[in-house]
Amino acid sequence: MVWWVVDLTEEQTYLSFMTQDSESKKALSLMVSCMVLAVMYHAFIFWNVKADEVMARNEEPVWDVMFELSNQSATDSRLIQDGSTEQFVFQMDEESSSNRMVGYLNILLEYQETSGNFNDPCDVVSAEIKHSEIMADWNNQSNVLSGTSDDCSAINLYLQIYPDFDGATKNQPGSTSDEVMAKWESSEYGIGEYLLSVELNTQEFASTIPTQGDDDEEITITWSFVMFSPSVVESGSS
Amino acid sequence: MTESGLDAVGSILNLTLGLLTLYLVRKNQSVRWNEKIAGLAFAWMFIGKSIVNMSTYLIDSNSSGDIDFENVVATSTVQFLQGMVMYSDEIFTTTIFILCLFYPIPLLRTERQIKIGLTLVFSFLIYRAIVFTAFGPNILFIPGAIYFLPGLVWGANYMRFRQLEVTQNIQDAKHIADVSLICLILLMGGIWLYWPGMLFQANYFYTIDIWGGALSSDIYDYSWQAFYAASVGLGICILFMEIYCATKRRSSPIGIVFLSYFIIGFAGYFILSKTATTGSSFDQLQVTWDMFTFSVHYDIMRPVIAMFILLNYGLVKAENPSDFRIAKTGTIVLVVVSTSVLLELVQYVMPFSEIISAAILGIIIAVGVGWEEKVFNNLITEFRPLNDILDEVHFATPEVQLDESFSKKFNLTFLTYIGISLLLAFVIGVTDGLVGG
Repeated sequence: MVWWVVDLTEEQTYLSFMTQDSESKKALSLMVSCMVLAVMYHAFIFWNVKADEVMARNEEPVWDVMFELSNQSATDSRLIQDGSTEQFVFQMDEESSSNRMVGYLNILLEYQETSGNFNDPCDVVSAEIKHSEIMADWNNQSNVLSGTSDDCSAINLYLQIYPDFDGATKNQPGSTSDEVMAKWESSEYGIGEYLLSVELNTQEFASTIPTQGDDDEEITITWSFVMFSPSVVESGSS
Repeated sequence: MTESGLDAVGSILNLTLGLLTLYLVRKNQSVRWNEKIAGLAFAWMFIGKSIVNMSTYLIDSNSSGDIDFENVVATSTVQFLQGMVMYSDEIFTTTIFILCLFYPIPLLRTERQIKIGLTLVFSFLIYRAIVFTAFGPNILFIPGAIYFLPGLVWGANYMRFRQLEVTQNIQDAKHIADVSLICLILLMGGIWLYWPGMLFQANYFYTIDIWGGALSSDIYDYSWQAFYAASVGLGICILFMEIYCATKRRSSPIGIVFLSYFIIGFAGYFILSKTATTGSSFDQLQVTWDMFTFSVHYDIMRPVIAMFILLNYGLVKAENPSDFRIAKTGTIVLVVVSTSVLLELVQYVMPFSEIISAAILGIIIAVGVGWEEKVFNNLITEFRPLNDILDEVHFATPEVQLDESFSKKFNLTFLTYIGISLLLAFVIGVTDGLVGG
């Protein structure tokens, strides 16, 4: 007989105590049976009933991120003197965004030649969105941060504020809907003071006949923010 | 507070309790040899969990978003920390094995058995560390094995002594059953919160993936879950026994704690079973529920339960006023930290000002002063030595003379293991050992 068996038989062993009488044997059998049955049941479910879902457990869900769009606009008109630069300001705060995210900004600058003189050419207007502390995608290639017009055509400026947002539904992988939503729920983007600098230089008709030249012009600015509220639905798995 | 914050608090708490327990066990001369081993095991359980929690917290701090070992997003630092999580968790496994072999009933009953038993347990620790370093999460690691032997031993203890109490009317036998059950709650409480998931085939149970990605094989994940299933089976058996005992008017407070885990698990089924079809992804409500139940069990309840066992069953005895003060301080720190963490968690769900939460904590502490002393005094003095009960059922703990340097060797083994863990985790970090499987 090997030595450890000798050791165990020197006095009552744990096993002999645990199985001393029929009642204790019944109790132990019940316990072991419950454990074995649970393992067998689990094995059957794991490898058969839920095999497909179990095998797909490492596949990352793919989510459709959809955006409910809305607009927030404001218009401002000012008379600008020849050769001067005016600052147009727009304040976007969290209250005015009403818990929506700020997607992007379009600025429309319009003016006309108002001197009333025959053949008086349009004035030269330059506009520039000033780089500020506002959290936005300032380096986005689609941005049009400055523009000039000398033919009375409107100037369109564009600033991408929320990175990757274009209003279209996005298809994104992510382990949870919260994880996917987190990318689209940063309310810090676009909050702050926007500055638009507008410079005016008037032009006069080159004529030998004396005319009354203009020295100012009315400029109209339309700030147009595209706001969004995101929502996600699971669309499949990757 | 996020789960990561919970880890940081848990780490500090566990380290404090571990060091206090080591100190008190070392000074304690009057406990029996098996209780001394159990006390040391509890101390190292705390310390091991402290390293796990701190590493987990640092992983969260060092990574943005999900860590993807497969696609080489995990940095060397993160891999080093993940290695430390794994190696330190093995300290917990080892201490649980040691506990079940010695407490509340010593299975190993002679010096030779103790030597062989401990050698096997520590060899298993080294084996698992080597397997993990060489192969990562591999089936050779025998994932989930931690639940098997302790489940069998403590489960058998519980069943036997509950049966002795009911059939042979040995009143105090329930204390041994209670200790065994509370050890099982410490180990398996988290799994019992998921019991309906296994029975009713919910995704949140069957898609449990310890590594959270394709790094571990199907058989690895199956192995974990199979041992979880065995634990659920054991839990159901205990549930039957508790119901049976209740019909005989022999319910116990520990049984009620056990039942509360099962009831919370049942309630959780209705929340967690609404899992996305493609995986185990949780929405905000599910994450919150999981944090309040699963994480609270692992990060708060485990140290609370361990401290309860240590004090209530006399594994640490405060033999002089200064030790008494240390033990009491440890308990108060545990209660205050746990309460503040729970308040932080409530704040996470229902945001209210930090001033209010601090005021609530202040009120709780103010009201608790004096009361906590009474509870502590009851906890540390009013118990019947378990060996007296074992004597009553003719299975007394044998006299074993432990080597005088036993505690030193025991502590040194774990210290050496932590040193080796650091080295192995460093190797994993510099060799990208966890990346790409």
